Amino acid sequence: MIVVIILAAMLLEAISAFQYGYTRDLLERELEKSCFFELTSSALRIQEVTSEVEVMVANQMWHVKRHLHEPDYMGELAANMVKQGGFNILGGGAAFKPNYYPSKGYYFEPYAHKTKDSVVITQVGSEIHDYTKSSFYQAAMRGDTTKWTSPYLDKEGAKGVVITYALPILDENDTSVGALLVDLATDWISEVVNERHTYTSSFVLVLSQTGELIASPSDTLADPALVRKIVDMMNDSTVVREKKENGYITGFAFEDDGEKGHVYYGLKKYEPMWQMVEVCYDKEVFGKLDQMRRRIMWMAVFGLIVLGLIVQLFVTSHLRLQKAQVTQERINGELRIANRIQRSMLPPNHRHRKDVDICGSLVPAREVGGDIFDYYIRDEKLFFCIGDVSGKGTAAAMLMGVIHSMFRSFSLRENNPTRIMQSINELSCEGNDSNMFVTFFLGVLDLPTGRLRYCDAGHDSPYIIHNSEIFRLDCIAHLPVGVLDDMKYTTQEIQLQPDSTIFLYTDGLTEAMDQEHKQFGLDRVEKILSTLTDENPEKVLQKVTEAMHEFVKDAEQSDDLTMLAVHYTPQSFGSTLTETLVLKNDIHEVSKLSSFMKSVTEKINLEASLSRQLRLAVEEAVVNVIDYAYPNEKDGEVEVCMMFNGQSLKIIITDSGVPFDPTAKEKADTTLSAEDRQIGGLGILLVRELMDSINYEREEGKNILTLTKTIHNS
Amino acid sequence: MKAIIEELADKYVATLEGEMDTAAALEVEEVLKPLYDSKGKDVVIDCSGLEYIASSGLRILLSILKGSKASGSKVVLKNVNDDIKNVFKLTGFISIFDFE
Repeated sequence: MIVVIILAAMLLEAISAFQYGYTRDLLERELEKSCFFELTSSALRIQEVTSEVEVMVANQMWHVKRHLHEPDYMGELAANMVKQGGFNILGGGAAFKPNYYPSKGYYFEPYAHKTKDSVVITQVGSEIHDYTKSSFYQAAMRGDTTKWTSPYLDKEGAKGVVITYALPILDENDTSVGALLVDLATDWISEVVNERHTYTSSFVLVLSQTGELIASPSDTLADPALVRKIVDMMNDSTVVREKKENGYITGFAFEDDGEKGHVYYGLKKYEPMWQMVEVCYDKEVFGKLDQMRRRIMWMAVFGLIVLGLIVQLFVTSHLRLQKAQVTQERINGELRIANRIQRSMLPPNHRHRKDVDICGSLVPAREVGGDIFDYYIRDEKLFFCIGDVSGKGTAAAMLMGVIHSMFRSFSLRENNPTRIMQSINELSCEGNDSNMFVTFFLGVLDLPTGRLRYCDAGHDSPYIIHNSEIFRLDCIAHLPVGVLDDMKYTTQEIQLQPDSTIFLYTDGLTEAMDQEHKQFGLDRVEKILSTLTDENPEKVLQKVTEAMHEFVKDAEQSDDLTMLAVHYTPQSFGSTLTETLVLKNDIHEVSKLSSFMKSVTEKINLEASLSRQLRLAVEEAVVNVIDYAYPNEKDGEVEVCMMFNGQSLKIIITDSGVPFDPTAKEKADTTLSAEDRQIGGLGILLVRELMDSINYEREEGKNILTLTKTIHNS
Repeated sequence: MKAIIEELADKYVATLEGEMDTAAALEVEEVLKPLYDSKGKDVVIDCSGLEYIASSGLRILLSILKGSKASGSKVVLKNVNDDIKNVFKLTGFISIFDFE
């Protein structure tokens, strides 16, 4: 990204440089143009003055010619010239060939020069002031085209730095006999040329054709040292002249004290008399441009920095967004895994039992849900439950997972719904910081007898369907789990008729909403349940789900949808042989078991080793009863009833001792080493191992333990 | 049921005969008590005549085993029949006793 900024900066710089160069060229050309015009106009101004002088001298020449034989008149003529001329004329005179007027002597130059108030005529020619050596005289005598001299200091005549205009005086034979001259001061020239200038620091110099300085601005306008330097440079042919587009002027660069500048002047061929030189500092010309360029550059830098920051901001926020997206996807992935784990926690649907058929379904509103259902069969009892955590999403699902595992672990050792519910409740209240609560229904169906024991903690009571009649199970309205830790939960009991269906649901069903926010409602549920033709639990759930989908149509699922159906179809045992033995609660009585078992197993033609196994199982069960149901060794009886229906043996051991549930006892751990093996637990282990099923019921003050073993599979 | 112990120079030899149900186990426990502490001697229990054993009997055997393990000696069960072996399997005793 930095690279992009740098490239942008470089591009901007390139454009800016190009623009600068172009603008500079434009400015230069403007400068040249204005210099050209200025030089030209200055030249014209000067020409005005010089032309005046020239004309004046030319006019006076007529008079001089006419009075050539009057040498004394010459002075007057000169004085007339001076009087006529402007303030610039310092003096004028006529310088004659030596001895032209023999009466006047060798040197004769009558000269009139201006003083403050008058004009004074004097004869200035002498040995000391040998005017024949003067350039004006020699130029005039020669007949040069250039009639103006370069500036020189005239001590005698004009008494100042002058330039002289001299015309040759011609006699009748057109022979030069002298020169008529006018001396012009030079200081006006500087003033003229510097009157107007485009740039405050620029100035103009006037040089003679031979490169001598004729006029320069005052010291305040131009540094004399610089002036000298430029004059030198003008005369220095090694100084590189820049070629200009404009064919009239040329120029070169100079440097003064670190300050760069340019000098412009007209080409000689266009300025026959004098050289006008324009001097200006680059800073003045281009200064503003440079300043602007610098400003633009700083603005560009600043702008780029700001741009850079903005881009950086966007990039970071985009990256953050990307990271958030990645995190979100990871969360989604983890939620999917959690969903799968949750699904796997739900029990598979039982198929293989004849006396009960169960089907459950859970469709969470979000990836993981706060609903749960569970069931499993232990010791011929169906433990089932359904629940709903307040709230949705991951937190709810986690709490549900905990409740679920508590349901499983507490019901492993416990048949009684009260105790199971209480344990779950206590533990839920303990760790519950977020004050979530759980509506929960718990049921224990004793499959041999059809006795349903249940406890409802704030959950919608289930429906019981029998013979196309439906009714709601009467449930005491306990508080949901996780609210009050010392809540007393009561167990309720009903006898489930054969061929009955228990239907459990969460409020995700009754509160399912269509797009107008109408609820599915209990009425619709009841209607479907009462019109069921097939009580197969899978079909039941299917029908209800279909009806709900039809109602809801396209509206979004607002809550977890959970249902559980239990179809109870107990098979009667149909015993063909029943034998009973009654023992006293005395260990020594168990020997009677031996002959009793023998007689029964003989009647049913059971093979010897199986008979011995059965005898061992029954003995262990009975000994347990004697030990635990009659711990105080009061008088009591133990009844052993053996039934056979051709396929299975059922042994029912009944006693009227204290409530004792052998199925709640823990089996011995057979994996421990000899040193670690405990003495206890062997009896119940053997019963469980030797028998196919073990079932305990407490009924009317009696402990009823039922053991079954399938002898023949038909 | 019959239970006899014989102390030899290098080991104990016990013989169990008959059906060792819960009542019988109670009765013969006294007889077998010395085996709980075999004082470093191996214990060989002849089960060739043993027809049946209940958990109380198993408990006695376990106590004998614990005692002898503590003193570094062995307990060997000889000629255990298949039914009883099965019981040993079910209870996990099969892996803690030595059989011959």
